Amino acid sequence: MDSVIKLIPLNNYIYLSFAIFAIGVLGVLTRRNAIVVFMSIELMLNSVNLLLSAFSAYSGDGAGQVFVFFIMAVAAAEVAVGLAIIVLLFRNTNSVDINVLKRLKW
Amino acid sequence: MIALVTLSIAGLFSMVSGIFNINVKAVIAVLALLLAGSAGFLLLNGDLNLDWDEAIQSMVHFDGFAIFFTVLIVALSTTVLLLSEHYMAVTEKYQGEFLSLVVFSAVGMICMVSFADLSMLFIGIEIMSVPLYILAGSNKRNLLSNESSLKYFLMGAFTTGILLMGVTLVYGATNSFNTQMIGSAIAAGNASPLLFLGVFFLIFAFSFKISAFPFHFWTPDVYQGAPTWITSFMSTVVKVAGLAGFFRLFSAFFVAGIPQNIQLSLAIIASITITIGTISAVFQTNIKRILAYSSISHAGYMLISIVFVNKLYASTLLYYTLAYSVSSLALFGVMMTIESKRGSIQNMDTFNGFAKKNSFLAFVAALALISMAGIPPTSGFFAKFSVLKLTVDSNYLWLAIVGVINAIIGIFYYFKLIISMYFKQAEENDAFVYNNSIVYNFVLVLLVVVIIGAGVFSDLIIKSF
Repeated sequence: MDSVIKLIPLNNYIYLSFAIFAIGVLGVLTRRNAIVVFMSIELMLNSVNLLLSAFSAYSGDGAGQVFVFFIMAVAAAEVAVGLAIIVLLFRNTNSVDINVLKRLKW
Repeated sequence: MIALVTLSIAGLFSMVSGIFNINVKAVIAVLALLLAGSAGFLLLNGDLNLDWDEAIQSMVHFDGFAIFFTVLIVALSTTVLLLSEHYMAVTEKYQGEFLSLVVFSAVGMICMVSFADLSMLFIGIEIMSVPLYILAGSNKRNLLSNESSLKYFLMGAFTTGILLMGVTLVYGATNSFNTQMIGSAIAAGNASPLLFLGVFFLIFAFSFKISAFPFHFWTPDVYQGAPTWITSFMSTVVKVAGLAGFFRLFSAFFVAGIPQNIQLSLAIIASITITIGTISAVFQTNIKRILAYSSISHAGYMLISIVFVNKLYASTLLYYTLAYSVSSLALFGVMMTIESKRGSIQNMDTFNGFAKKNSFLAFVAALALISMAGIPPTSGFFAKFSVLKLTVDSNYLWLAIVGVINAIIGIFYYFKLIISMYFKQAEENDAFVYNNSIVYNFVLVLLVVVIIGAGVFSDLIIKSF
């Protein structure tokens, strides 16, 4: 029996993942709030997760789905560090706007 | 493998030492011994291959390439730890944690240079990067440090996404994470266009880690804001690991030679990186930013060995990374000494009249600068020479010309520093006399010996790998 995932052609998964990935990239490039930028990055990672599981299901190879767990674990570690850094910045500047980051320039 | 285990234990040890208030100097000494011991063991005995399962063997593989880069990374990290004494002297809290983060970062780097599977590469890159985000911001009250940390983190997390997209596309095209399997799938030549898209994503992601052209702009900001000993760690060891990982990835992917279009785009990236780094450094006055831009241009030179990626050229990359990081560490060592009395260095004028009362330190700095500028008989010259020889051998003459012109421009700003040390007067009557501990000076002497020794025996070193 084919898995439910295979009811939809693989190409559609690729289009969807690329769309979500592009939304994430656009968010990183255009938004000014550090936390929203951060959310956009998470969106990028999740689009990758989706694509990986689709590829994995279509090729019948479990390694891709295992990799998804790695990504989730590492993303969680990154969130912990990233939010700590943002909190640190907020304590010192009372703002999470990345436009504050202008001191280092030539 | 034994190095990975030893390093992880060393990291845990230094974390625990923070809890029990063990003297930081003792911790550094133990760490240095442990690291040097494991490096020496690796070099002498190869790798201790206990009876690991097939599964682990296909994840990490300690071949000659991995062993030599592991030894280099461990040796350089030890040097960074030994040179951290001035920073440790002014921070009372969390010293053990800083040390353990550096060591854990080195663990990630060893995964990066020994991977045989893309999941191990990803994990290695993350283990390396996450401690670095923290370390860049480790000067908590300093706004510049906070800012550099956040910038580094946001950019780093962004490129993690790009890297993962690359890995996923390669997986989708070849149905495997194993680099050997991917290599044979590429060599078979029926890979889908997704593969090349994936490879380009991977190139972008790695160009962030080694601060090459499309993603180089974070480098000066982060290097300036981070505490100097972290800057020295990032600009040497991290860059070595990034380049080695990049090289290993591509040499496994393109066993039958790198395709023309990828080779050309890498060559263009390398040439732009070299040029941007050199030209921007000329207009800088802040010394850390100069070094940041100089590290960008050196990354461009090292990238050339990846343009012509081939297992045979690994020694060129190894030699260049050795020469570059040793001279860079020597210069940072002198800078940190100056910082210990002056506070943070901002301007190049700090170096004015430095040589008058500190002939030894000035000599170390001058030699490091000469090596970075690429003047014989230092190792920097032979490193540049062997890289440019690759371009000429492979009929990429224009790349060689770009490299030579930029090397000449580079001499200009490296010599500005030497001139201000030796021929300019200090503005006020404050020609400080700096003094270091014996260990610190011993490390500097060792670095000088390597800079000159690696230059004199360059032929021997390049051939023996």
